[in-house]
Amino acid sequence: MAHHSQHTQSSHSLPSRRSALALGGGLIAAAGLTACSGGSTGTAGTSASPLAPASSAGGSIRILDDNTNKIFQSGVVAQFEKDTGIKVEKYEQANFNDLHDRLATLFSAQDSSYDVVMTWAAWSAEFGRAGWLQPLDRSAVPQGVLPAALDAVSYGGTVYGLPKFASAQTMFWNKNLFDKAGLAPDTAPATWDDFVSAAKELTGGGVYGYAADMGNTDGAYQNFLRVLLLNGGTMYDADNKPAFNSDKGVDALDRLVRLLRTDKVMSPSSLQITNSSDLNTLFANGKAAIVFNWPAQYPVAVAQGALGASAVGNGILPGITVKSASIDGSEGFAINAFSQNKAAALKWLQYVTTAPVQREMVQKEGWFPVTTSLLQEKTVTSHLPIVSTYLQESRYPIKRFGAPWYSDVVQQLSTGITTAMLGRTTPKKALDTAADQASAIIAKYK
Amino acid sequence: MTTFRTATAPGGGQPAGGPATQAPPAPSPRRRGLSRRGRKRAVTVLHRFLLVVALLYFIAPFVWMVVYSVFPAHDLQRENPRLDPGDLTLSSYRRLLGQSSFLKPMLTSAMVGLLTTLICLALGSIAAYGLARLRFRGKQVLLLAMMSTQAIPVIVLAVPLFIVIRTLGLFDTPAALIITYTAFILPLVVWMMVGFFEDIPLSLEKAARIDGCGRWQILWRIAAPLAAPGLAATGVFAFITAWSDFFLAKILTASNATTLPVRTASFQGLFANDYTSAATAGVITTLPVMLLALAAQRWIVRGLTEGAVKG
Repeated sequence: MAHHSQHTQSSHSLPSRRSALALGGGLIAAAGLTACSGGSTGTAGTSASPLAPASSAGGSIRILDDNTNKIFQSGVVAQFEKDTGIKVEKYEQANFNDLHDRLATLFSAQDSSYDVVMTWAAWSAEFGRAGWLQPLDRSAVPQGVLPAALDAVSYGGTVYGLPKFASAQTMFWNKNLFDKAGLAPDTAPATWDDFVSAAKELTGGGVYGYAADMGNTDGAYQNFLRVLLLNGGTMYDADNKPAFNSDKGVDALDRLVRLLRTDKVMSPSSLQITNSSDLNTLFANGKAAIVFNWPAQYPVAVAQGALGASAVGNGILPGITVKSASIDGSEGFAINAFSQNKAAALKWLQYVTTAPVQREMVQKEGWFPVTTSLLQEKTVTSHLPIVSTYLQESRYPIKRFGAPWYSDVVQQLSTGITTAMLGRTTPKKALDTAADQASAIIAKYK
Repeated sequence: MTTFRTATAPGGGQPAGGPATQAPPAPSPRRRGLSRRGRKRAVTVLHRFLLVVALLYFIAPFVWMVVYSVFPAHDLQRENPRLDPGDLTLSSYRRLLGQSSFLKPMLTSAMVGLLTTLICLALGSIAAYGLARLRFRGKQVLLLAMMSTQAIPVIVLAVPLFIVIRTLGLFDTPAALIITYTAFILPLVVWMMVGFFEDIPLSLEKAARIDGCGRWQILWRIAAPLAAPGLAATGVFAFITAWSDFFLAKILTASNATTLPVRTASFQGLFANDYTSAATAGVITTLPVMLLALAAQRWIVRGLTEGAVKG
């Protein structure tokens, strides 16, 4: 998912915005300002016990979402009110890039202006660990929720929310270009070597065999993480020590570097592309034959004037030492720990995972549904064929490694990745340096 | 003994005394170089060249933003961007300026900027005049203490500010921004205005006193009109600061009191960047600030530097 290629971070030599906001929160606590903060302040500390569904819930809730989805505003909220009798006093959408700071400020001030807030892997970890999100009881999690999607709203074994849609990267290829290059258009490259070999055949005449969105912090991280997982590697060991500089990690980055510098099958624009939508466009324009991208790639590629459905191939990502793996981009909703109406808030979280809402999410917005049963439902797969690919992909690891230190570590790691991609250092040196920096960052959280 | 005059460069060692025997001037290694005038000219050219390079470096992003706002994005996102004058269009300006979702933040920004400026000038000029003309113990300390508030990073104050604004029931209102900006900008306004007031000859005020003017009358009838250029420059500075703020506006507002910088940033979305709208909004946001800054540049610089040493 592209939010993941949207973050901008301040220089690591300066205090991060995140730590500064935390410092601000700390100052308040020290000054005891919260004592006089008025009516919007919730009960400080809140109950740490997980929230289970209540037999009855009513009243009203306020929701703060990012601006990814339109279906809530356009009908789901009204239907929820009708079905549950709970009033949605406010459903507000904010730009994803602004949301972190807004949420951190609200939480630091123990504000209860919003009962429900949008979350994803990194925020579930950061805000959950800080005690700002209400832990949920396992009984609150609907049956059959996909592990990867649930992982995006959990941290350290605690569930802090429920997913609103699932998302993972899959492989898209241009069948017309495959055909032109003498490759079987309906056969997906099954292994990394097959992929590299196909990319070599496909590169030429202004077309690159492969393109990626590595132009910003999160983009660089995502592209490395994907190859790391495909190589059977992991970001951290069981003790949360950086493990991305293992032999598998170094090999993964080396493969990525080779695509660009040795094999020259990766579009050089990959280092400038900062947004998955630009990658969508590049593929849809026929300038890149293979991309590993989020579900939003599909509607862009099959749209009128683009490639068309018959020219778009979609399959699981080709593995190196494992069959396949992918990175997660699911989003969800969580309950503000300072909410005054958690029972009703939980009703909203659960309502979003119900089949009618999820079908609408697939049909109107092109995201993957959050439950296994819907992944297999014909009405869903016929509307969005790539759902079948996600079902296959979900048999293999789909991870994101959301953690409280996510942004800081990603900042350091992406710098190393980009430096290696530019040929200014070796993959090993880049990853070793990033691992040292990551260790120092993680140590602050212990 | 015949002494030949050795050829020397101006200021070089010349043998004293001896007949002024004419000898053919031998070429001097220094003469082969540039003359003093030539060297001066070369330095000037070099300076100007470096200035042009620096200017290009600083204005390039703005120029590219303007280009992005008037050419179709698909023409620019090619490997070799196409800049066909025939494709020039102002449609994105028409589109944005026709949308209430853009006009409202623009009006909010203008209103917040203007009111903040007026309040800062009214309060700041009174305070600055007092600091410039009244003698009291701790004046310098007071001025420095006021300026020291500028050393606190805004981000650290975000949460306390949010709580105060929320407690006052002002969250997501223009008033929240006006109050906050005034608190941040006022010390700088005072700092700048002190310098301008101190520039006014005391004799004029003494004459006014003899004519029966009180302190307030001197301020409004003598000092303020004479410091008008300073007031204008300080006002421009205050307006630019309030108009350009992004972080506080993001924290203290939601949807009702969104300002132009926050709205501009929203064109960078989660799944797509609307480059054309972002560039157009960027130009609309930046242009007034650039023009104002250019118009008041000399006074702003002067105000910032003079206030530092007087008082």
